[in-house]
Amino acid sequence: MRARPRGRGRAALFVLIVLACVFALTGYAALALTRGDNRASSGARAGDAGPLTEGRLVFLATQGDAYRPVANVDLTSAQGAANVIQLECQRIHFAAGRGICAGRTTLGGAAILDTALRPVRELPMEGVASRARVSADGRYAAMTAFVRGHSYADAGFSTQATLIDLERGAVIADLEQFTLRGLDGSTLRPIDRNFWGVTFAPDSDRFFATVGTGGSTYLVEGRISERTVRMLRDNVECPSLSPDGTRLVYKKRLPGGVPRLVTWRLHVLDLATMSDRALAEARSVDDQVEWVDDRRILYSLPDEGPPATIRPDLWLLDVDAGAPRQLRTEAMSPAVIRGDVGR
Amino acid sequence: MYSLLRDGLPAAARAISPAQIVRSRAVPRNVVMLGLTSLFTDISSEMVSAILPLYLILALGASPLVFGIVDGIYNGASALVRVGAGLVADGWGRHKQVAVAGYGISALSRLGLLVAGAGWLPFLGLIIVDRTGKGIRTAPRDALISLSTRPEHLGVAFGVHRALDTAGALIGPLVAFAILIALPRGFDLIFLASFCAAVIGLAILVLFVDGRTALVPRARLRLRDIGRTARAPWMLPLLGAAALLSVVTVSDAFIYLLLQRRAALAVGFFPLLFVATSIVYMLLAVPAGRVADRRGRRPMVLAGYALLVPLYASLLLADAGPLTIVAAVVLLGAHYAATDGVLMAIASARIPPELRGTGLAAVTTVTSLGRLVASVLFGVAWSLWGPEAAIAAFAAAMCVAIAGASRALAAVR
Repeated sequence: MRARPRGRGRAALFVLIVLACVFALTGYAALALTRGDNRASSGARAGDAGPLTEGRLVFLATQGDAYRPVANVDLTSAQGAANVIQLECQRIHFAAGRGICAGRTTLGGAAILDTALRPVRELPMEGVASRARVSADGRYAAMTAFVRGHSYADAGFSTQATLIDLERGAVIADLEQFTLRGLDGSTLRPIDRNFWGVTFAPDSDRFFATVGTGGSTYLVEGRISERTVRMLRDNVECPSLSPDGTRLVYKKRLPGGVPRLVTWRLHVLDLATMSDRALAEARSVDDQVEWVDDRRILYSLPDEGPPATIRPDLWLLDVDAGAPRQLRTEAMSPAVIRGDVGR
Repeated sequence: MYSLLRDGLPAAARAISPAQIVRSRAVPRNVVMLGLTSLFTDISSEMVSAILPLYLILALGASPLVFGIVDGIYNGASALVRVGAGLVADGWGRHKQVAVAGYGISALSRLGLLVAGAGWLPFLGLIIVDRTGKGIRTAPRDALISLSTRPEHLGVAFGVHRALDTAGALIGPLVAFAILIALPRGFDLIFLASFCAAVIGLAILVLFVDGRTALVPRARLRLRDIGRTARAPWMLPLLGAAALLSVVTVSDAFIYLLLQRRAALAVGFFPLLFVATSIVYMLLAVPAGRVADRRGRRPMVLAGYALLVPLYASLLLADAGPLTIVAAVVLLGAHYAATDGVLMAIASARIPPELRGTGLAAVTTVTSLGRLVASVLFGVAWSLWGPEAAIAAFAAAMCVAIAGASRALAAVR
């Protein structure tokens, strides 16, 4: 007899909990919408990139979260007010009047950009964009994304590196479709191979990238025309080739430790002698660097605080001398405009 | 014809109507409520795990290597505490309280996600807390399901629970991605929604699941009982069959990867393959449990594993079309429906009530360890011999394992 009213009380309590949840959720959603989480669609000015002349720096203006609008500023006054446009990418690169915007939204997608950073063609892209690069002549682009559920064991991550023909506006291939040759020249077909961090040579057909397989990473050199890549040496990630094509700056993985688990130290590799040395950057850098000229590089690092945040800052370093210098705060994915853009 | 209609069809129709099964009291209210608890909890946890890589890399700026570590913890952490929680629940004799602790810990970790802010280390800690909660709740929950159900209906009871559980796993990612499409940076809204779903699941458990089920034993657990049960003549065959069958099972990730390569599917289809498999599993779990209760659980489990042999064979076909994909997904979903809950029913019917939680935890732990070993073995076989030979080897090994498990499970009865 007593069971019934108590049952009713429980049902009422349950309804109350559900109502509280619904109330909290709708309230929070409404708050998020009015506060303008879609900041790009409110506020920011309509996509006028301004003149992208030599010496301009294209980058993503961000505090490190997924809100990353495209901006540009003069390299010589890089701390100054930037021209932020109405385009968001998770990663961007731009050269010779063509650009690639990888990660149109947090859910994926990519776009080819014209001389004024306007999207002219949408491309499919799965996963989380991590690297983007355009060849110096604006002919090809490459982007890397992290893909889940595609990996060989359930744990771990997969990357997908895609080559794009910017002239035809079409995807050329996923690098996994290219023939892979090992250090000894033999053809390899490891199931767990992953490519990332493509950088183009001045002739743009030749490129360098990283392949990871069996827990190791290797520098590979490839040719788009031959659809082949071959391994050159191990423990090289995210290479970036100097404009003169003689040197690679890359991140070399060192034994980790708490709290970072993984440490990468920037190194420079002389392609003529194949000798490498560490750069004057003591902090762990997880980025594909951008060359300003044949000596200086740009890369982003999270603000070390205190208190440490995930806000990325851009740092400038002379590969051959001197210490790193902060160029701008709240900025990542730099692309330096070199030479004539007018095409 | 008439007799077929009268005897055959209505029986079949009943078999696919969960509502009718609930009304027929084969499935007690407790089991339905535990199923709903799991449904909301799975909505909660799958919402977060669906966006885990996005959140870690985009919002926390973690490197993918860190993601690999988090993913490993996500998949491995709960197995460690499972047997321990089963022992505690058995020893204390209060499965519901232990389950509440497990579900509660996970719900609290969602609240933590909401306030943790930047940095992936606190995030990592919260993921470990969440998975610990999952490890704690699994064994007492399965024990509650089995102790609330009459032995002849165990198959259908676990079927109902697994169907509801799978429904939650389907809804969660949909909700998360719907939020991200509407609010591209709405990660905190996802965490809040996830917390709410966890609280609703917990509320159903606390308010509507009867922990004082008459069948729950009051006797104090003694070390001697554990030893006697561990040495029981059916224990080794039961765990052996679970290990044998799982160690020759190719992981879903590989199956999807092979399907994708055979049929040249875009990577974007991966979630769809998972969704389709889950829908088949959800729809077939109850009928499979019901048929298992009536016609025998051992043949159902063996048939469920036998379904994998044509699935593996289809992966060897030179050119796979849409039909192959549909067939593979249906076979995989049916495999889960015929094996997961039914094996728990077999184990529940044999494990004494006072050790139900520990025993069921042992079976699920052996199964997940077996699948982990299978993943590694398959990866090695693939690297050494290529995908075709690896699949063929696993198909052959599966046939042998089914024969072995058939004899072993006969000893369990």
